[in-house]
Formats: sequence, structure tokens, C-alpha cells
Amino acid sequence: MRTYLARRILQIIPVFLGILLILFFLMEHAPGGPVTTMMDPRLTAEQKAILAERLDPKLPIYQKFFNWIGSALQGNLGYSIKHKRPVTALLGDFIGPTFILSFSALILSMLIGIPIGVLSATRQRSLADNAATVFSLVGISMPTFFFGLLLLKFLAVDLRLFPLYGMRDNLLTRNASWLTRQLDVARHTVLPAVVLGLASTASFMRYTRSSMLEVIRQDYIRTARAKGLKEKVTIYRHALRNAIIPIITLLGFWIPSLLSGAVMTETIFAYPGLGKISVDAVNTRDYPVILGVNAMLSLLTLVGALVADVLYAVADPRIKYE
Amino acid sequence: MTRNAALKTLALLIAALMALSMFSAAMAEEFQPGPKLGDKLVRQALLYALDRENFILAQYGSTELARVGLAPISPTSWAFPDLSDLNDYAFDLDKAAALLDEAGWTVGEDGYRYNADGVKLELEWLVYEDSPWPVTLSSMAFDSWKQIGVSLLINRMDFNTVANTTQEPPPGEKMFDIYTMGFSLDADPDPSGGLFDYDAFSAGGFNASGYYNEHAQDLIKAGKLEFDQAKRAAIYQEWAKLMNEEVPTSIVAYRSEIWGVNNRVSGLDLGTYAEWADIIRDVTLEGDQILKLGETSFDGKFNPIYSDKVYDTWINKVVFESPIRTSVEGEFVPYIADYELSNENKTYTFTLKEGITFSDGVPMTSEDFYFTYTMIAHPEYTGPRLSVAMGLEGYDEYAAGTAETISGVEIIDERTISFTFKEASPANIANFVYGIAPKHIYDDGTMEGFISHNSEPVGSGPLVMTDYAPSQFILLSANENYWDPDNAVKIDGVYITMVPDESKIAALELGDLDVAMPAANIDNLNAMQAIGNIHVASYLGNGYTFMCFNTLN
Repeated sequence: MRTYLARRILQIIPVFLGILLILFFLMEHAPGGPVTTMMDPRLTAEQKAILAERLDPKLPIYQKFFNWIGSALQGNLGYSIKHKRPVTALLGDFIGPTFILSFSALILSMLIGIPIGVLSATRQRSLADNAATVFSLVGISMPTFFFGLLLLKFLAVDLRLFPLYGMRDNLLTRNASWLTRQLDVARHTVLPAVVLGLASTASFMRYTRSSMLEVIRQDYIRTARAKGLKEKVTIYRHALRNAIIPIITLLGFWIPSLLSGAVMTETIFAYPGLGKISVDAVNTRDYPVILGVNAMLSLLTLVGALVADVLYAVADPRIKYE
Repeated sequence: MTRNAALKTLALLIAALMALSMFSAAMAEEFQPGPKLGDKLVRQALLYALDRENFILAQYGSTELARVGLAPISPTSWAFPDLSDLNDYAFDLDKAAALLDEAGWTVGEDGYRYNADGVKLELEWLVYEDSPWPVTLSSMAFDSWKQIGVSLLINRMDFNTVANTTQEPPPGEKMFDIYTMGFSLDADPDPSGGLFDYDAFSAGGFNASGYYNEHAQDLIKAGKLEFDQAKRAAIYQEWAKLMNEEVPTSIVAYRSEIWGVNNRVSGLDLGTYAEWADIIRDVTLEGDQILKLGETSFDGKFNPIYSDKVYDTWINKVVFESPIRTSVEGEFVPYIADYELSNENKTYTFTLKEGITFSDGVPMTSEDFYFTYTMIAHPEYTGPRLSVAMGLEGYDEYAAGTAETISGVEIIDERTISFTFKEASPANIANFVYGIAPKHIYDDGTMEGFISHNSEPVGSGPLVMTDYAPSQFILLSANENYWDPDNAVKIDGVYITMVPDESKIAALELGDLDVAMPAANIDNLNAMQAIGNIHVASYLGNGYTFMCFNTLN
């Protein structure tokens, strides 16, 4: 196991560098540049050229690459062109809210998705199963903005149960206690988390159901039942543990998306996440931010895949890594 | 072949290529108008065949929310010509067809027009999808131009790609026929360096049309030199009429802005050129003394020499104060400094008003003025105001490193400072509308140190920033040490939140917001008018949309 881990961690390095190289290459060839969107009519072509050179010096791509890696190793990811703020500070501004939102959405969708998946697998073709299937199809196909606006209309505007936008109401809670402020954040997070969690709830449900259906037809489940084990124990201790393996894969890939943000949800609820920041960065060709965000996410994806592999071994003793 | 020999060959090859490209650049200096859009009659025909009033109805829902564009000067400006002098190119397909006939484009067997050389009248329009209006406009043009025998190819892409394709390539290599974009008109009508100035027809320049007219260029130059405003207005009126007739680039529409304002707010006088610092001074509130304002987004560049987003600029206008500002009529007037012109109108000598202090109580001196404005000349400056410093006498020497300071900027005494420009121009005064930052806080000798204050700005304005969370909210409070108590704000502060466009009206209705500016369309207008506790304020803004013709094609 230890050698396996060491090998996998060593493998991450060249893959990560490869991803970075592709990123550099893509940015080099993207049309336009950061100065293109600086639409001040008083800037002449000459002045724009000076600014472009200062913002994104014309260096060979390999040199840019090594410069970036060199300063990244010292914890410096450069300055955002659009926000004139260090990229690390910018990531710091938005990682917290992004994590709170995505993590709430993930927990919500697991708490709902997995039990319903188990339920509909054990009662295949029952009314509950059909209802869950319909729900999951609707959940997967419902456009985020539509569902979001729907919730806003009923729960925020008509019933006034939740706030319309933002992550906290600083005007009301700036002098309140710590707990009140956290509760305020929670209140603001409910609707975006439900909207963000809807599609993943549905896919958790589908994955659990199909994986569970496969497992409960296995011989060892029949043996367990024949031994006279309670149905609950059979299902939740023996079947679910084996059925969960594909879900772990799903989870492994979920880790980066926990931090990548969700543009649509963030936009509808004005939730201060990384998603909108990174899309804006692409639109304005804010190269340092594009690089910083994507480097972070690709590293997390690689680590996520590794964590999933390790979790397999925990969930399934048959899997052993040499 | 040895490596050395290979390198030599390569170097030779590169030198040869460079020589060739320089030669071809010299050859191509004079550009000829193209057969299609180089012809004024074709451009006019295309405009007659585009129902812009219908476009405004389709896009904004009401002619109250946008007006058919006429000339590249804001209709609210002192330089705008008499309406009767301008052609509005009212939708007329017969006239369009007649113009094309006159220009020698005849209808072929397939229904499209061809010229004597057999060239088909086919045009490519670069349309970005980042906002909906270019899509609407180009689809309408596709249908109506087909009726007069013009074939339109709509090429959809993102904004940055359109900007890049039309601006970055050198003249003669700009590959498009038509593109559309939105822009805003400055308070000063000087068009130099912009869409209509042939001098900006270059790699990276704003003018992509390539249209050349000697008289128009003379007028632009004359307007830049004339200090008498009445004479200047006459120059720009003549120029605007010329552009209205020649239409190398057509102004599609002038756009309005609509605001929803809670009835508990009074004294909020919005207008095209109304300065936010002025607006906020007169505001009074019933009940809670904090004005709640909804905004779409901020970049967080709360620094007068860096901000380029409207909403960032707003904050800068109330936290900082500038030597000059625009009046409600769009003229430049003294604000916290008086000035005198001398040295053949090249030198502006500013005297700061007495008693100005920053919000921390430290008096403002000409040192602060000098510091803020010379930071623009700093070799690491990367903001949009570079032009402010580059016009100054001695900038080039300073930038080249042969001079320690900029010779054109001189501190005369504690409150007096002079700026000398290389060329005299009435437009130079527009360079002084940016706020002054306190040197004792912002100066640590580096640009990094200077911009590290971007998220906690300190200025001399009537409001101070007390709290800020990126992409969430800004809390501004009344400056308790404000140096000019007669003009202090009457409210406790302004709480600005980032609100999605879709939720602004609902938030106004619920009272979560006092003031918000939703997108100017009829649905939003009707929705706001139906709400009892708010009223609507609307005015013609300085935003416009334009359509540029590549006159070399």
C-alpha cells in the first residue's frame, strides 16, 4: 500500500505539469488579450501595446511556463489583471463561500439521494421506486436557472422564508453575535444549496439504485438472507457496503467540483463563488486567474482520484494495492 | 549542415521576411475604399433597409427606452447638432434598392445583387453573443437585406474575439465586413483616437472602418485646438452631420437607463452626467438612515487611477475627490481645485481649495496631487489612464529613464501645482477628473504597495468605506471628518449589495433595496411601475450601440 501511494503521488507530478503545459498553450492561442476589453477610448494603439507588454510580456511560452512554476513554488500566483489583486488573495476571498455552498449541496444530495436509491432498489417497481425515478429524471433535466427562479419566486418573494440573494446580510448582522452571523449565512445558503444539489441528488439516487440492484442479486446476499439475517442488516451492512464502490468514484471526482464553483447558481443567487470569477476571467482573458484557478482544480482532481482509489481499499477488502 | 550554419540561414530568412513585410507595409499605406462598403451609397442603402425603430421595439419594448442613433455625439451634449440637420434613415426598402441600383449593384438571376465585375454583394457580420441585442439586430438585417438582394453571413463568436478580430490586426488585415458593439460617449465630444478617427486606424486602434475623409480629419483636429466652446460646438456639429451622411460607422441606438427608487428616498437626482458624489449629497431618507443600493457587480478596483468598471468608478467618486468634475450639462468644472490656463494654453495651474483634509484628518497638499497623478507614469502602471500621463511634457524622457522626474509636473507651493502638456487642447482638462489619494497612506515606493489599498481606499470624499466583501457588499459611511460640512451627506451611509439583475425588482418591491437599476426594457419598466412603494426615474444615458462598416471591402 505504501509503495503504491508513493508511486501514485509521483505520477501526479508529470500529469500535473502536462495539464499546465496544455493550459499555457491554450492561453497563448486564445484570440484577444486582457487589453482588448480595456475599452477606454482615450487609449491609443501605442498605449495599449505598452499596457499589453506590461501585463503579459511577450516571452517564449517555455519561459512563461518556468517563470510561473518558479513563482508558484514560492506561493506567488501573480496579480489578477481584472481585479488588480494577488491571485492567491482572490482565491482566498472566494474559496470559503464556494466550499460552504458546494459542501452543503453535496451533503444534502447524499443524505437524500443514497437512502432513496437504496429504497427504490429494494422495492423495485413499487410506487415509491417509480416516484423516485420520475423525481430523478426531473431533477437531472431541470435547468438550474429555472428551478432557481422558481424557488426564489415561491420561497423568497411570496413566502419570505429565505433571502433573495447574497451570502449574508451585513447590514443587519454586522453587530450581532458570531452565532447569529453563522445562522444568517446558513439561511442564505439553503436555496442555492438545494438548487445546486438537485441534479446531484438525482444522480446519486440513480447510481445507488443500479449498483444496489446488481449487488442484491449476488449469491452472498442470498446466503446472508438464508442465514436468517434481518433484512435491514443484509441490506445496509452487506449489500450497501459493496454497492457504495461506484459512488466512491463519483465522490472522488466531486472533490474538485466542490471548489470549482457553480456559475449558474452563483449568478442567480449572487453567491460569491469561484465559478463566476473564473468565467469572468476567461471572458476578459485574465491569464493569471485562469491559470491559478485551473492549476488548483486540476491538482484537486488528481488528488481526488487518488483519494477515491484509497477509499476503494477501505470499502472493499478484496481490493489490495501492491 | 552545422548548427551554426542553420542558425545563420534562419537569421537571414527572418531578416528577409522582415524587410519584405516593411516594404509591403510601406506599399499599403494608402488604402483604397472597397467596392462594397467603401461606397457611401451602399452603406446608406444598408441603413435604409434596417428597421431600427422596430429593432428597438423588439429589443427594449419601447421607443422610450432607446432612441434611433443619429450621430456619434450624445444627444444630451452641448455639441449635438440640430435634429433637422440629421438623417434618421427611416426604414425604406425602395429607397435602399434605388441606392444600390445607383451604386451599380444589379439584381442577378438568384435574386442577389452583383456589380459589373460579377462580385456578389455578400457581407459577413461578426456578432457576439455575450449580450442579446447584436443577435436581434443581425437577424433582422438578414431578413430585410435579403429583400434588397444583399446576402448576409452572420458569424457568431464571443466579445473578446470580435474585439480582437476588428482591432488588433494591422490596417488591411482586418477580416470582417460589419461588426457591432456597445460603447459609452464621454462628456467631452472630442472623437480623436476613437471609432471615427483615421489616426486610430491601426493595429490595436479603435477605428476598424478604415474610412478616410480629409475634411473630417481636419474638423477633429480643429476641435482639439479650439478653446472657445461655441466655436468648438460648431466644429463638432459640422463633423457630426458629415458622419451622419457618410456613415462609416453607424450609431444604432442611444440607450436609456431606468431606475427604481423607493418612495422613502428623496432628493435623488439622476441624470446622464450627474456625478454620484453630487447625487448622494442631496439624498434624504425617511426611517432607517442607510441607503440600500443594488448593483450587478464590482471588480474591486477602488482606486481612482485604476478603476474601469462603472460601479467601481462610482465608489471612487464618493470616497475620493478630484480636481475637476463634470457638471450636469456635461462640461468640465472645477471641483476641489481652481485652475488657470497659461503658456499658450498648455499649462494648467491648479490651486487646491483651502482646508481640504483626508478622512483621517491629514490635510491634502499638492504633494498628494503630484503623487497620485505621477503614479500613472510609473513603469509598472497597468491601468486604463495611461493617456493622462503620456500627454505630459517630459513624460517620454521620464519613461526612457533619462529624467528623474516628469518636467511637465511642478509643485509650486503647498496648495499649488502645475501640469504642462506637449500639445494644447481643450480635451486635456478631462485628464483631471480622477480622485486624489493620500500619499502618506498609499506611498511605500512601490506600485504593489499602492494597489494593495485597492480594497480599503482612503480619500477626502463625503463617504468612507467601512466594510467590503468581494462580490458581496460594500458599506460606505458618512465621513465624520468631512472638510466641507456644508456639503456633507445627510444620511448615515450607503449599503451597496451585489444583486442579480433578475432579483432587483423583487428586492425593490420587498424593500430590501431602496435604489436599483435593472436592465432598460419594457418588462422591467412595467413591473416597476406596478409596484406601489417605488417610483421610476429614467433618462437618456451616455451608452450607445454602433455598427461599423469595413470600408476597405
